[in-house]
Amino acid sequence: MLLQQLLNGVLASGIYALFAVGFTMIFGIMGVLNMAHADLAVVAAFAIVWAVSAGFTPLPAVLIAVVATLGLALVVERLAMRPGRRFKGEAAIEMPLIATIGAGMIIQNVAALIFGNKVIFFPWQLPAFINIGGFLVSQGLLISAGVALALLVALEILVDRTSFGRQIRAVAQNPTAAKIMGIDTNLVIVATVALTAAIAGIAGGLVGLSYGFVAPMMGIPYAIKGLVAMIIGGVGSLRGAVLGAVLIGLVEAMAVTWLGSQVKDVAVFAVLLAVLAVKPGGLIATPGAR
Amino acid sequence: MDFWLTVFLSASIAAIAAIGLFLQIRSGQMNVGMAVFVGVGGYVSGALGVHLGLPPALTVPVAVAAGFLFGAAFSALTLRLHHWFFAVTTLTLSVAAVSGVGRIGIIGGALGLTGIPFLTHAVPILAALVVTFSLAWWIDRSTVGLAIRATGDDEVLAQVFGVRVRLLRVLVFGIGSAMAALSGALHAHRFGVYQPSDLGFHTSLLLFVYVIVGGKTSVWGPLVGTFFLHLMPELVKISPEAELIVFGLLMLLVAVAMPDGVAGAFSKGIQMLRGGRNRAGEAEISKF
Amino acid sequence: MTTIEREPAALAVAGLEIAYGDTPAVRGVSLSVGKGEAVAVIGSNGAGKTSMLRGITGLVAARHERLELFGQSLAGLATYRLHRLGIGYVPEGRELFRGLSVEEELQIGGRFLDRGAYTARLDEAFELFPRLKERRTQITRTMSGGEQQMLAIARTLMAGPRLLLLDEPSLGLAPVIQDAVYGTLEALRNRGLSMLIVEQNAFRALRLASRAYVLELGQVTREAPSAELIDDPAIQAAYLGRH
Repeated sequence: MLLQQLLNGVLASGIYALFAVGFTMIFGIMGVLNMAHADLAVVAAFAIVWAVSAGFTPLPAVLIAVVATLGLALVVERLAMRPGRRFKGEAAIEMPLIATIGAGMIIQNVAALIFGNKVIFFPWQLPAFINIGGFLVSQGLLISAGVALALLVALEILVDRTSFGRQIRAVAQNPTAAKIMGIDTNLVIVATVALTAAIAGIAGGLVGLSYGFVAPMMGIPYAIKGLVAMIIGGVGSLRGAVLGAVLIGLVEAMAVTWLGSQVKDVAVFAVLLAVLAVKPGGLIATPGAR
Repeated sequence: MDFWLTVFLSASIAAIAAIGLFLQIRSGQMNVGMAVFVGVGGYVSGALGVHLGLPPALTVPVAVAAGFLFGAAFSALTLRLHHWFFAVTTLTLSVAAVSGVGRIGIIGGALGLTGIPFLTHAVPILAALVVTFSLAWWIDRSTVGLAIRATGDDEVLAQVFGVRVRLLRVLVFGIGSAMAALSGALHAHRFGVYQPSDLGFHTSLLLFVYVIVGGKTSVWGPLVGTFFLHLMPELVKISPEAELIVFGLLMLLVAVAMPDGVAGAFSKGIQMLRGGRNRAGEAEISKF
Repeated sequence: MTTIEREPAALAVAGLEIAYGDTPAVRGVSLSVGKGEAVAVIGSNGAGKTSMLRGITGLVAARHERLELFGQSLAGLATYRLHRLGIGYVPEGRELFRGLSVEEELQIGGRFLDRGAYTARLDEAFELFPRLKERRTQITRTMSGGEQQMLAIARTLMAGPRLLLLDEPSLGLAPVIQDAVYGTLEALRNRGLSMLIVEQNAFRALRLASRAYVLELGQVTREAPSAELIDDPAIQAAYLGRH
């Protein structure tokens, strides 16, 4: 029973990790938490819901979702995040916090206005369970975890080994030096926002695929798990974010097994407090992080 | 007539918590989970009434004290967290509290606490609002207020100037939480029930919006914000979703263009009318 | 109409003005660096030397009547564009990336080169600064000040700049290391690289440069060949007394 739950927990953490790396990359490069980041998953999921119901075949439906998600992410960056970089001190933190919370409210409730503030079936589902060595595993969750793992490995390679990745790290570590070395910092930031938005969008699709339904407010729990994963893993570290996500998945699984499913959220909070008490900088501290 | 009184009293109760949140934000503690601190008051006062049969006149003060202790303890435990991390921690607390409280049988579990003694009279509610506002006004205006603002604006600087930052943060957060608890207790006695979902993200978010949209640079901000955002939807009659879209747009507007919120824009407007640009400029400076 | 073929200056600045709020930092500075010339700007702390370079590179807002690189106007260009136009800027305090390795810093500098050219440049850089080759994989934050300064110069050289702007390259370095850094700069000058060097350590800068400007309170108060300034008692008293 516990092993079964732990397996589910690890598989579910794949989606958490996709959100966590997005939060951590944006925070690393802009010093801003995009509180509307997880709502981009809602945009992608509902773009697919709409496109399929409007009669589009899968490929154009995915394209529509990509355009909608990236487009909106860039609007949020331009309107809610970029202006904050003008400010210094407290205002540089407050302004984007307030603005991105506002942007998230708008996204959630526009979706609720159009599709209803309720759970909606996702057109593509993988509800079947398969038996692997005595364990029942949700097919959708298994594929989600596989896709997440592949994306995370690709992301690690991109950031660690490519010229674009070096530029991302350069801007995150020292924007002035980046400019001096000929890096268009705004372009790198916008590209990073688009990249993380794409990842969040894919995560939104995976949520629908794995659980069979999506909801306008589903971004909120994923935002919390992504943010907590980022913090307990160590802000600015991709591996830390993934580690944090897996930890949350496991803790949730244990809480469900021993205490019942309602206690999941309490367990996440308890882990956050525990890690912050023991290692305030997170489990993997990055020297480059702010 | 009765309808408007209801809206007015709801706004008054919410404004008490919003003023408490204003003080917390003012001291640099971005609390995005205020509903939990409101809930402490609601559940403490409610449970004492239900289980011991005590009247609100006795239980509300106890609830306020409990709110202060809970808030001060939370702040003391999270002293090392700054800004973003404090916001995320309070947000997580708010979501966790809903499911956590739902497990506690003695306060009604997932169904909520029912049978709380009623106190629906307008006078105590308004009196509570006046006392809260006056206290916050005094704190914000006094030297303590100056120090609070200093901790909010620049903690290192405040430390240099000898403000005992830690103690002040904890104290202010405690007072803000006590105000929240007062609000929660009044809410519980007004409706006779208190539910786990009252502690959740939605309530927390609304309180945050009231303060930010109203303006976080003067005590008038949370008051104006709460009443404005309570009355506006009733006057315009839009769906709850559309209402939240408007709130979201207002948040964006405030963040990008109106850092002092509706109250700030309003007072600036009055000053412009009275004395032209010069006076408005002076007011800008005198705020600090 | 016939134009006289005359090679434009590597850097021509006229009427540069910078102010922080109401406080002027640079007041109407004009200077030029000829092609292949090394020019020094000396001045005391707070004279506006660093501001001047930050204004030229667009890191701070500046007004100017003329700002040209080999005859091409730089007016209104964002800082990041200067790198590809051939300005190598080695700022005060080096401004390395905290978490990159030596090689990654060099890769950032040479990222517009094709593979062959990149390898050639990398070899050149390692020839100039053999220490960097040994430390190839080291994270730059953990290196000594001298090594960091060498890397800051090396990474700008990767792009093959036409003009080098150097801000206090000897700051905070032991005399032996200063010798090494200046030795390299001399070698670069002898290869014909144009450079503008800003220094408090006036003696070293004047020996490297053929010409120098004296900057006081944001204004150029003197322009003369370096040899003349080194021998000038007033300059000796003000800037060469100790270092």
